[in-house]
Amino acid sequence: MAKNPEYYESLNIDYKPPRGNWMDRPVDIKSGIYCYPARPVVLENVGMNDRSDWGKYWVIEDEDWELPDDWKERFLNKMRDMLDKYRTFKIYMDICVRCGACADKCHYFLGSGDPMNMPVLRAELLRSIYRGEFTKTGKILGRFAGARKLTKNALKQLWYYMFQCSECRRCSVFCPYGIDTAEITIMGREIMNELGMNIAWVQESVSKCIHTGNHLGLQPQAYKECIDAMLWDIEDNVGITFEPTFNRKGAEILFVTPSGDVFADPGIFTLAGYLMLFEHLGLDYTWSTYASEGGDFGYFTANEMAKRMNGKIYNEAKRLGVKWILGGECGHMWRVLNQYMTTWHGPIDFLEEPVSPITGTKFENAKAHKMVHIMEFVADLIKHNKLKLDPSRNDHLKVTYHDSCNPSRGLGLFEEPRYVIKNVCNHFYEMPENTIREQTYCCGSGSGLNASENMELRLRGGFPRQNALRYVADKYGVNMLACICAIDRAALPPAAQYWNPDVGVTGVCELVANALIMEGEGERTHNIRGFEIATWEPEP
Amino acid sequence: MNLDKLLAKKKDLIVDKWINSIYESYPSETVEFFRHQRNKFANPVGADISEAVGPLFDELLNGNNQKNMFSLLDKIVRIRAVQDFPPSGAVAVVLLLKKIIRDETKKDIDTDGFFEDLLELESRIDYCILLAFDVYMKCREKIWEIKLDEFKKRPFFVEGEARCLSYMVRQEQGQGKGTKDCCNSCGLGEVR
Repeated sequence: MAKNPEYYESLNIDYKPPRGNWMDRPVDIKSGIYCYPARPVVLENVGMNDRSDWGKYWVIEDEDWELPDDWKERFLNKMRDMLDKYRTFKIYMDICVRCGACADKCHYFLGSGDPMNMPVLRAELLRSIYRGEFTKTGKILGRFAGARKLTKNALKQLWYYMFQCSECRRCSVFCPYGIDTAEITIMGREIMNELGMNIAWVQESVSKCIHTGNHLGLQPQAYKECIDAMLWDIEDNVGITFEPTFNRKGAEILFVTPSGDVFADPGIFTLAGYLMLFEHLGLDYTWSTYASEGGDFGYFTANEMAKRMNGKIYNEAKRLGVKWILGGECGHMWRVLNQYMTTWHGPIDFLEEPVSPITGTKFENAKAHKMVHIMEFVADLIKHNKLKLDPSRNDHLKVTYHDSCNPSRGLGLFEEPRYVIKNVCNHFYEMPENTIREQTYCCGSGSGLNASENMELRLRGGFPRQNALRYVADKYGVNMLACICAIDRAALPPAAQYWNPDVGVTGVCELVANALIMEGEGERTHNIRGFEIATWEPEP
Repeated sequence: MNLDKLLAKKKDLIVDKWINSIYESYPSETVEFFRHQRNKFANPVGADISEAVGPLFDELLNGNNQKNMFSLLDKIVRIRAVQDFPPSGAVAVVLLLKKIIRDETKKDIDTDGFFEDLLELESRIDYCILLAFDVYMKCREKIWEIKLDEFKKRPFFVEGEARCLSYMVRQEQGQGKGTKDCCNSCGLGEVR
């Protein structure tokens, strides 16, 4: 064979991305990563700045974003206001030394490999504008001090990446200064709201929640009908008939849960769990069709909106004259309740310190905001032997537990769900240590990013969690992933379909309901999903 | 000695270079991270790439078992199918090996006349690229299936405008919009 030097030269493949300073990179907005923008009408519906006064409907992939003439002024004025109002924001803008401890902790960075998703760099998008527009050093030294001016490209970059952060706060666990990077995202989003730049998935939910009481837009009759449908299922599968009450004045407890539990699969089976549990206990409680949402998508838009949406829970508690509030399995709801609610509305003197009517346990941790997490409540019941349980009914399941971000990092709820699961299931396996408890990975779809159009973002963001799940699925044959968050229950099944097609997703209360021995129940051959227990194989 | 034996001898070097050239298809800051973080749960992408590449190389040299190759490629391409790569970039991981092998064996092939062996091996690599394309399409179709599922599951009343009756009546009567001039009959204005 003749020597063929050209042959060797003919293969010149280079897939190396371009090098250079991140400030110079033009933002490359990709479909599958961003969420659709909010329609002006849903912003207008709730009295927020919409874009209808200056531009047409906003198309993300267009070169021109149809910004108003005074966009820069509006942005900077809002940012100035927020820097004055929120001391934390100013501190977080000033003190980061760019040590990089947070850099490799973000699931979006780990899944995408895009360095702009390193929390430090994502925050730097806003911080560089802060330096360039608000500090003397930045104004004089410019890029040398990591500063830049607010330009249209900078705004696009900021928008693109602020909606690639699920505010899960994993990065802040590792920050030696305690900077809450999620809060920088929260501030960044609120500033951009000033220009009407939020996403449809968040704003549609906000608008619906303001007008109907829940994100799904379920009106009272539909809300009740959804619960009625579940009661029929319980009648079929458990053999028990009962009727819970709605909007009942004088009940001892108001129960609030995310509306995802009332409608979406598999959250609806968690709701069946609540219903059965409360019926079994004979709890004096009521559902509300007005405070029919525990979650707070306003939290992903602006502080005032979050406060407005959250207020309905106390409004309803006051109107119904209940003693305290019990909350269902939800994610960011618990960060809002635990860290914001009393600041917004407190002191809450029209409610009492929560006491379990079954065990007499005082929930002192809930003294201020008067809301108890369902897991604390159930763990306490089990501890006092108040539930008759048959964990062997869950024997076909090998369960692992995903610490939902906000209950774990925002509320510190680590042991209660595990205690409950271990009491209702015989096969429980932990995922690797650096992927659970306070180091838990996000499902990839938090903070209003669980739209469908950004599926690639969700799937890659969910990869670190799914990678840990794959490990226990391979090693122990885990086939069920339990979690305590409605967004998890909506977001983990698609992610599992892609990465772990043999693993199903469940709420913890569903597991409790299946193990619960109720008085007068029929023969339990089917689980509450209606599948025959003996032959059921879960799938996402 | 044939080319396969020569490559088997150089396996560690070639696999190492292959892993690195896959890493280098990511931005430079990410490459550093992929190289240095050894914990597979802290660096899932880097770990999956480095775990799959060695066995894939063995498979190309010896086994050529389609099923094994498919599942090894799946580990790498499934990730790239949801990352920022164009389709060509997602499957190019296999193509990178061609260049490495040519560079590494250039001297030996010229002297020993392994050229035919090389062509034969490259055909196997070409076949592997086609498999990578199959994996890629399978993943992309799955993504669309998931998207479609979600749209189908979405309740009809989530779409369209918020259906608050009092709000809609006010709208019709032209009495103010949203909460700016809202009567607050829904009680969402102030808590206390």
